[in-house]
Amino acid sequence: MSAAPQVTLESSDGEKFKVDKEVAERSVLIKNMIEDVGESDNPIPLPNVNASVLKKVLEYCEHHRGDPLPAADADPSNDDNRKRATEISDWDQKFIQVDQEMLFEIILAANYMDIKPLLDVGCKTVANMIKGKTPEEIRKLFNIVNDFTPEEEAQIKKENEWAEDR
Amino acid sequence: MSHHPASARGTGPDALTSHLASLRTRDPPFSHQEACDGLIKASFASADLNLDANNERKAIGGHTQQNQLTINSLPPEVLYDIFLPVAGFYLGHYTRLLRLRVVCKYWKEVIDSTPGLWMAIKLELHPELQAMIIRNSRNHPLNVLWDETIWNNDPAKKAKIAAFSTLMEPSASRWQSLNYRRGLTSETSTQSICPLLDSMETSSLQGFAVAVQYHVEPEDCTPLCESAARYIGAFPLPQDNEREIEFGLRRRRIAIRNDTWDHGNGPQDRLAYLASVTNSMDSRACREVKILDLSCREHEEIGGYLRTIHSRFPQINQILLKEKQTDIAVAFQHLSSPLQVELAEEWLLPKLTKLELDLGSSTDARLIDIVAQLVMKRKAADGVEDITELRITSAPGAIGPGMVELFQQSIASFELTELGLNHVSNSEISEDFIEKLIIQPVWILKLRLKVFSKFFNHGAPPADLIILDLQKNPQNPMKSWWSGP
Repeated sequence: MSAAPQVTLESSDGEKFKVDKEVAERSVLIKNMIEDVGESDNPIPLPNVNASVLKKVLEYCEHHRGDPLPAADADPSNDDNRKRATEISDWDQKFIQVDQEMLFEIILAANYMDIKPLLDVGCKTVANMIKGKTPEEIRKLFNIVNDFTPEEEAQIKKENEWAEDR
Repeated sequence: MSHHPASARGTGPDALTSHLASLRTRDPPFSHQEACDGLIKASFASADLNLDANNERKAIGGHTQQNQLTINSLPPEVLYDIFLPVAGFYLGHYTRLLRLRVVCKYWKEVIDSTPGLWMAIKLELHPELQAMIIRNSRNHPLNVLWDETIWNNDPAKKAKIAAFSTLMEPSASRWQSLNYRRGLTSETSTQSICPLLDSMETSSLQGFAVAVQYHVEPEDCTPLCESAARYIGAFPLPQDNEREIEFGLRRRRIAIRNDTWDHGNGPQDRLAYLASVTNSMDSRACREVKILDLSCREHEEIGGYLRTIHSRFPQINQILLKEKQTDIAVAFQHLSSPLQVELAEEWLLPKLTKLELDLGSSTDARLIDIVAQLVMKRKAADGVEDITELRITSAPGAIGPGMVELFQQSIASFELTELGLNHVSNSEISEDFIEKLIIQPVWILKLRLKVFSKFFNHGAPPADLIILDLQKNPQNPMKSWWSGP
């Protein structure tokens, strides 16, 4: 029995990861790259993803290697419905239990590498962190500075009253 | 120092402008070509694209501490993916979304610049918020909930609806769906929504639902039906038991329920009401309707309804009847013999080929025989399609003593596509009966059984509802399955 074809990925800090092609192709970016430039023994450089993040991303891709890929021509409304849902599977929840910086690193990497299911997991995790919190609690949680002037803030709060039940 | 991953499109507020174009057109975060170009450039062309982490953080705009990747390092399209589930599934509720705008300038700019977060508008929202929705949704599709029933007793109702109508008029061409609920008084629909319905571009409207509260006279409905008629037959309608008359297209179906027509003085008023409403509908659209779902409480009116439907919807090929709502035997009498029109005979609904029956708890043993009679009489008639498919979705009570034999005698005359035997516990049905049904030289495609453990001698089935898909039975030729919803 012949071994599964493999590809080598190179992180921004020069670390090489040899993985099954099927796993690497969970990334649409890599899949298209392989299709466009052909198979090669040269490592595929990922200059925007460091080794620790790439390792984490590949762990996700390995676990989900057999999952159906999102359809490229999916109905946009279905796509939005999928995004609006906030359920995350047990394995994904454990996988994404990382500190905030790593969480945002994973999200950016998923966005860059075009791995929609991983991007979904990351975004839903952040969404669940935000839900039910006041703006002040959100700022504190994410270390965001309130950069509105008092006048601007008063105007925005006034606008918020428009959404109250009439 | 570690290198941070960064979107090829940059991060944070400085990247906002460049991202807005793609957000406005709802592009995916990366097109294939973009992704390939980005990788090829990044991988092989230049080391300059190997972004420096410190520069990325400066792009955050001083919102956070330096040297720390934060939520505001995320590009707008990713924040959109985060805000969407936070805002809630029902985007007509804007409380949570507006609260997110208070967090910081970057979030406010992203939210205000992302039309996908502003796609629903409701009549009862604050006018200032409605204006904000129209503005922020830019040229994107809008889902409109126009519910006039909420202000039935409000003296300012007319003025409020007029203001909403004025606001909505410029956007009518980009309405994606319209859910209209008409209130008790009639003048507003004529003056507000009807002109808008007349001016809308059908190319953008994908969903259209109209609900009319009862106690509305037929003549009050006419302007609305005239304006709405051009959309009939093209769009789906959600199920809603509050509607008296539903019409919708993707399902190619008209549903009529007269049990709320209490405003009339009797059968003639109700028949006139139906005639008035259906006569207002565009005849070309009516020809697209293929399914009749009839619920008629008064059995003496059934014939009148069928004649009206026959005259306005000549292409109907499927009829849905529930015994507890409509007297099936009476309905089938009208369909089992021709009308005398002048010197000629005319059969009602000549295209009819499919029957879907819910026999409910009826114990009338004649029902199956009546069905068989209908099938045979229409088969013998000229100019009438044969009924070839029968679907009995529920028949617990009807399967009583003697029914098994009747079934076995009648069933050979047509194709039974589905037999639902829900809640059967004390009937005469036996394993022997089921076996006989299955081996009949008729095409039974599905058999639904509800908790029928005596048929499963080798252990109870895992679920209480079993569907035997008999299409795989080699004696059962594959054929096109039921075309209904």
